[in-house]
Parts: sequence; C-alpha cells; structure tokens
Amino acid sequence: MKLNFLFAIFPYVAPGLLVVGTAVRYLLLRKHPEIISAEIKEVKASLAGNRLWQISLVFLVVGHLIALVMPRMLLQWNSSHTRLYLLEGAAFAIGCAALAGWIVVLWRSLSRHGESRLIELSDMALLALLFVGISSGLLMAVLYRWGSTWGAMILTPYLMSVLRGEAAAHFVLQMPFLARLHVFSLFASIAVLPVTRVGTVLVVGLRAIFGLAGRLASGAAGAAEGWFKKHNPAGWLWPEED
Amino acid sequence: MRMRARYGWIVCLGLFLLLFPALPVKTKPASGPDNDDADAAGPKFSLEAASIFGKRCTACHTYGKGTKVGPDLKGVTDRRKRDWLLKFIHASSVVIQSGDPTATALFAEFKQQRMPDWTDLSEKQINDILDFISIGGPDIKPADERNAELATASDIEQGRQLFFGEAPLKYGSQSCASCHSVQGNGWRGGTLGPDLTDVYLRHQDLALTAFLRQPCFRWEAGAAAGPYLTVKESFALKSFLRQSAVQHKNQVGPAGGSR
Repeated sequence: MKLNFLFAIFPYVAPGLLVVGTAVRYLLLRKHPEIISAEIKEVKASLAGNRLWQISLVFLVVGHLIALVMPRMLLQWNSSHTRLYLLEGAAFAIGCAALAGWIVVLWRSLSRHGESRLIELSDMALLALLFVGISSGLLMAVLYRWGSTWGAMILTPYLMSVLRGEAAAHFVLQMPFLARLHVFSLFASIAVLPVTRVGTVLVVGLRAIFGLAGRLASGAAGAAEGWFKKHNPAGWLWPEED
Repeated sequence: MRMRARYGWIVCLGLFLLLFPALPVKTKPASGPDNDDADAAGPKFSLEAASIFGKRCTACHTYGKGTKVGPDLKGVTDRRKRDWLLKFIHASSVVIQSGDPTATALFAEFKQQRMPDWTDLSEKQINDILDFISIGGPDIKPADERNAELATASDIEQGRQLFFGEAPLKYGSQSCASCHSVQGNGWRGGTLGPDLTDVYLRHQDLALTAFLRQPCFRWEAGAAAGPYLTVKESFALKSFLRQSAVQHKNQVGPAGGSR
C-alpha cells in the first residue's frame, strides 16, 4: 500500500507541490526584487556549483530524457555490444563526475549561511535527494548491469504511464530497491524544489513568463484599441461630430 | 573561438557517426522466413485452443481413441456442421431442450450425461478449438515441446543469437541478455534478472517450455496479451540454455552442478 502510494499517487502529488509552492513563493517575492536577486546570487554561489557539476547534470538530464522520449532508438543503439559498453561507460563516468561536483556543491553550501533556516534545510534536503539519485544510479550501474537497456524497457513505460495520468506502479514495484529509490528521488526532488533556493529561479522564470504575457497582452490591447478607434461605428453614424 | 567551433563540429560528426548505426534498420530474422508459429503447425493452430482443449475436453473425450464419457472427437468437425457445434459447445442444455434430433440422440446414447455449458468461451475461442480439432491438433506436438536434447548445432546457435540480441525476436520482444546472463559469455548479459546458466537443469524441459510461453516481464502495456516468442524461437532458446547448463555442469563437475 505504501509503495503503491509512492509510485502511483506521489508522482502526481510532487508536481502539484511544485506548482503550488512556486505560486506561493511568487506571491511572496513578487514585490521584493531585492530578495530575489540576493537569493539568485546565493544559488550561483552555492548550488550552481562548478562547471563539472553543471555539465554532468545537463548530460544526465539529457540522457534520461532520451531514454524517456526515444526508448526504441536507445534499444536499437544498445543492440550493438560495443555501443552498449560505450554508452554505459560514458554514463558511469558522467555519474562519477556528477558525484564529484555534488561534493563541491555540498562543501560550498555548508560553508554558507542564509537568513532562512527553512530554506537552508530544504537546500540540504534537495542535495541529499540528488545524492540519493546519483549514488543509486551509480550503484545500479555496478550491481544491475545494462540499466540503459532495461531502464528503457521497464522504467520508460512506467514514466510514460505517469505522464498519461494512469501510473502503472507495477513496473517499478517489481524492480530492485535501488531502482525504486532512484525513481522516488526524482519525484521527491520535484516536490521539495519550490522551498529551496532553486525555487527562486522558478520564481524568476515565472516572472519572466508573466512579464512577457503582460507585454503581449498590453501590445494586443493597444493594437485592438487602435483598430477600434479607426473602425469606430460612431464615426460612420455621426461623421459631422468628428 | 575558431578552434572551439572546429572541436564542436568534430564532436557532432563523431556523435552522428556513432548514432548512424542506431537508426532503425530491417534486420534479418534469425531463422529465415519459415520461423513463425503458423508454419510450424498449420495456419489455424493455436496454443490457447490446445490449452483449452486439454483443460476442458480431454476429461470426457478422446481424440482417435474411442468413446470415453462422451464421443470420440476425431472427425467431429466432418460429422457435424460448424454452426451446430458452436451452439452445442456453448450451451448443450439449450440445444437438447430445443428438441434438436442430433442433440437428443446423443443425450440418449451417452446415458443422459449432458456436456457442461461452456458459456464463458467466446465464439472465437470455440472456433479455434474446432479448428484445432479439424487439423488434428491433439496429434500435433508444437515445435517448442520437442526435447532440447534433439536440438541441432544450428538450433543452439540460433538460440545464442536470440539470447544475446544478435538476431531480433519476431514479435519485437527484447533479448534475454537485456536482464539475464549466462556464464562463459563475459559481460554480455545483464544482471537485473537471475543468472540463467543452470535454469535448464533446475526446471527441466517441460517446465522451461511452459515458462517460455509467457512473457517474463510485462514491460509494455498489453504485452502480456500479445505473442511473445514463436515456437521455433522458444525451442532455439531452450536449446541454447540446455547447452549452457550442460557445459557449465561439465566444467564445475557433478558436485558443483547440483544446485
């Protein structure tokens, strides 16, 4: 029952928390640009880490997205043993690089003190979840060989079922503990994201979207006003009044 | 900046060259054009029908061995019309009560022992059973039921290729090596699932045949309902697993092989 909750219900609770949390933070911070810029500086100084961390994270995210979006192509790639070894070796190296980058990020985060204890705690929770995700991925690569193949066969259909809104938890429930931990760390990271400093980045993104939408709406309203002025029926009905 | 752009192009070209072979290509099936189930046992042979026949019919009927509780079913599809058989198998009580002369005669002949109404069977399932009977299904042994001891070197090689994904499985299932390994083949197999080196000796021929008829993992929606392996693929895999088990047993010796 508990596992069913974690893999059938929590995958929808986590994005819900992300949306609600980001909205709340947006409402709290929207009139305090100085706090936003200070927190963005903090994110850059601590969580953004070094180049190794950033590049390895980008590769990990892109690799996982490829497995999610193009599993058939991935399986076709892995049908050659040489290519399979190449991919798994590269993925393992990137995972190790991410772990090394994570250590640097942790070191920087521990040496900094922010104003909010809650945000510090949530930053630590996010870092812990990232550690769980990276280390479980590395351990799986060692203990359960060829995760890029069986992941595309088993975990991709699960994640697709989650995206379709009918989470087929049985895919994950039959997996070893490490695989379940790996998947859970993803959803848990999504859930805690808005209360971390990274949440400020989401707020900035939201502000940018709203700003763009506002500019578009204002432009459209201006254009509409101009059009109505030009095509005002009153002008045809009472031209002498102009 | 120019050097960086040049390196970027080299990386992109390298990735493209690596990716190119991964584009979907039509690969040649392992066992040639005659590798599907239909060719192995006629166009209407169905494993499901064989299974239903075994479970529901053989308790009271024989096939070519005379009367048991009910009549011998050999040639029944020639003796009776298909429509009548469909109605009778689905609900014999209704046909008898309707006063159908054939049904009442049979009812009287077989000591008023009425056949159970198989109302849970669909028309297609009954038709498949009738097809199975009409082609002499009960006398046909599906190719995957052959004992793996009878496998040729070609069968074993075919099984090896299928196991490691060097040849594609007809219904698009993933190779066994995605999750399983067999000793003596390096790191080629996965370790998510159990090691299958001794699986043949642990389960023996019949049990392994039955196991290979089911998908080992429901990795795709609806995969359990669809076909998984052809009978020839199943036999080839069983033959490869038998050879691996025997080889391993010979290497380890009788004491080490008796797990």
